[in-house]
Amino acid sequence: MMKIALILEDMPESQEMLREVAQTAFPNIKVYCVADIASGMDMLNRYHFDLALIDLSLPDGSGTSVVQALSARFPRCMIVVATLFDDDDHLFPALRAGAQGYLLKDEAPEELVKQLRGINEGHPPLSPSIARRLLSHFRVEPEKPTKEETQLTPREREVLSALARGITIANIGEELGISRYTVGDHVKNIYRKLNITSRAEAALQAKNMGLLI
Amino acid sequence: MLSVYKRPAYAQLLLLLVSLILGSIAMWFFMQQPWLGVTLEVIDKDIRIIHVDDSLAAQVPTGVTLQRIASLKGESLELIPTDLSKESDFCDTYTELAIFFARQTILSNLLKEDSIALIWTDKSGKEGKAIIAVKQRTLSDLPIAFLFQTFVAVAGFLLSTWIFLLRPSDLGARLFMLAGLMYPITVFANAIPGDRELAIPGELFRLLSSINHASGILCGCALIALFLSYPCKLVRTRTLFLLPLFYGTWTLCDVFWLAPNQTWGSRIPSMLQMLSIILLAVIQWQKTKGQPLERAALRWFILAGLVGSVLFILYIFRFNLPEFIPIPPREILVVEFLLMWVGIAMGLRRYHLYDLDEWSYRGLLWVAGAAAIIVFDALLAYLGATQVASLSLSLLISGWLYFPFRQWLWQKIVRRPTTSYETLLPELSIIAFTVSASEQQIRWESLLRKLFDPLEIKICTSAESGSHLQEEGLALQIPACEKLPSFLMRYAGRGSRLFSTRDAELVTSLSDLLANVMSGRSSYEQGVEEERMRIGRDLHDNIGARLLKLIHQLRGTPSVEVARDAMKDLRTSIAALDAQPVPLVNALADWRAEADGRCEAAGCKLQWHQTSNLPTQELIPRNKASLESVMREIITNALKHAAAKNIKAVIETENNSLHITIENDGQIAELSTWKDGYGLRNLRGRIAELGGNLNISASSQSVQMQIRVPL
Repeated sequence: MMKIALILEDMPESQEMLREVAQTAFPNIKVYCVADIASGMDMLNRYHFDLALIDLSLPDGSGTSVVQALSARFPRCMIVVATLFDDDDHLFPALRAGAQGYLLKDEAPEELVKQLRGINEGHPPLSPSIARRLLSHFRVEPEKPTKEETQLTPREREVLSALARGITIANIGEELGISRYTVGDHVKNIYRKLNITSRAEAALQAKNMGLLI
Repeated sequence: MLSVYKRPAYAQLLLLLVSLILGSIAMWFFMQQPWLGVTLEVIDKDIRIIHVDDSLAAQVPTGVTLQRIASLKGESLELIPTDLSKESDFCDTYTELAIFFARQTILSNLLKEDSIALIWTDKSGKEGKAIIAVKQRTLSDLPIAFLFQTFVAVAGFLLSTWIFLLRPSDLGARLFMLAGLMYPITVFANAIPGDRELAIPGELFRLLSSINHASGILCGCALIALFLSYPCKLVRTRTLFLLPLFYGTWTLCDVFWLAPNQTWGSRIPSMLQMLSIILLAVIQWQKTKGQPLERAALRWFILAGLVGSVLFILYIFRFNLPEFIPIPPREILVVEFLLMWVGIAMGLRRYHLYDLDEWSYRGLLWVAGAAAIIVFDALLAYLGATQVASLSLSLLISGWLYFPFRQWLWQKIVRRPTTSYETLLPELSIIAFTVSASEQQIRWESLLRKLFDPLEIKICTSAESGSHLQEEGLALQIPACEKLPSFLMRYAGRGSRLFSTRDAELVTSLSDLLANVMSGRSSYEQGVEEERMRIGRDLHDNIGARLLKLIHQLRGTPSVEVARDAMKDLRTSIAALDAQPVPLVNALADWRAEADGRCEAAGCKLQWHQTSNLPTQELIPRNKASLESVMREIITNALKHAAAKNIKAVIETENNSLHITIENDGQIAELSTWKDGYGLRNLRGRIAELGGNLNISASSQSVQMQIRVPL
């Protein structure tokens, strides 16, 4: 349940917009807004946050440090990067530091609300380029077939493969000829079986299983 | 003794001293012999006085035929040509030999007198006579040939003991030293009678001849043993003792004149020994197949052994051979033996084999060339041509047949990399400008393979700079340069040769050149990269933030979409600055993801069909960015202007061109009315920049935009 949110954003208009988005996505949420890293860090000592929307380029440094502190302090907190640029160079350090997804601030607020809810449900948007970057970065040695992998049904493997390629839930359903809700169920099962929480991790696992070429 | 082993140089100095003393003794002994000061030579079966000492110039004319010598008491002896024989083996039977020794004794007794009479006849048959004093040689009267042989004996002795001192426990070195110890004995026992003026006592002559034969045979035994145990051990060490036992017995038969004749007594065992050496050389050659280092050592052995053996066989049979076969003079034979010594020493010591390897080939080929000339010469002489004509004809044939063959063989065996900078430089620059590191490595490796044809090439971790020979030329280490790893090549020319210092130098200069080009390129790239980052940062921080502000301000107005598209284009442009080429598949995934998101937001259904067998080509960032903007523009138009409910994208490739067809079912305006809009012009411009074209068609239900761009 989302109760307390932190918004770290230096541009007043964006701050206002993000507050609106958070409150629309999660009614009754209490939102605290700050504009620099120092105040953000200060906030961490005062509240137990469930949600954090963090801008990366801030006047006193990169928001990544706050992402790191947040995820260390509140492992269950949903950390989302709010940015203008979704290129891997920008996002990658934050995702590695513990952010579960990102929002592009120039998108329509209604769209952002949808995406935020999506992140909460365990399928954050993950652009194909970010997925690729994650894969090439970790470059994990292909693991030997583990128990979990063998537990995945062929259908789940198909879904995982599509998921890792950055295809949306709706499109996966269409591609496989099943409803988007069925796909959602598959995704939940996959996450549970592989003990993962994000699409990035899903992509990594898929890579390790050899589902991605 | 132990300390001597530890200091080979001191030991060698000691041995030098010993050998000088031995040489001096031999010279002293030689100088003790009576001497007249006349130089005699057998010409047309006459004993001619060809030169006289200055002190005799007034008494004895040159060019006359010496008939006899007589003592003042009246004893005299008619001279016969065999009296001048340099060695005892000119005759075949021991009876003849006994007569020869007896005559030597008589002559040397005559020479014991204080003065002696020489009786000669000149060309007209007129007799002349002179009484001359019997003197002794002074140091300056020593014949050059004798001094030379002394030198060779000492050098051979020192060479073999040097190898032994360096590797005292090595069987090969021990055997070589044994042969080396016999060597000066053989030479001196040959030189003292050989360079005598007229006579030495017959008993002494016989003793020295026996010593010469015995030590020669023992020397041969040591060489056979050497070839039996080096480089490959063919028999057990114990078995080697059979050699001196067998040949020793044989030689005793010769020394005590128990053999039927000299051919059986000394020529046949010597020939047997030399033939064994040739045979063993062949066996060793076969045994060392695929071991370049051993072969390189063996080549010296063979060069030395073969040449030495063949010449020696020719020499010992010189009295039995037909006249047309050229016989090497004794002095040349001695030199040849010294060369043989050097060859064996080099093989044993493995001294810089990698650099001398080529020379051993050359040596062998030269020898083969000389042999070819001799064979042709002999053949032609046998067929009746005169000697001069045959020599020139054989030279001609050798020139026509042998030398081209030799050249071919040379290329074949040595197979030096035929490197020319015209071909190397382009290849190097291709390597330097290859983008992918793995491909760069593959190209560098293949260039090295082409140059050296090694059996093995592997990556090694070495921080050393410059190329180094390893394992005595078996391996060559290639230095790492820039991103290229260090390599280790082994077995040059598929194991047929060793790497040489020249190879190492070539590789060092190649890799230096490569490193220079690559570092020039990477600093250029670094500069470009820095500039790109700066532009990216500017776009990012300034323009991005302003656009975002604008988007916020325009919220709720239709124009916000324009600002949002501008923002997306900005993102695409910045991404394009990150100059990595993207595989087509990845680019399509990016476009699809964006289109998906936008269609979903607009409540439009996107159908995306792309062929599964897309080529593996990569799009350069600029082209990707252009196509991305084009796709964005088309989707925007469909969603905004046409308010489409269904969009269908079909992606196909054909003959290296990419076909993208995007169809929407939105409200279709008359084509002619929107053909000239800014958006469309922009679209066409971008596609034309890529060398493609845009085709728009409309039916009653849909509009189709067809893009074709070359890949």
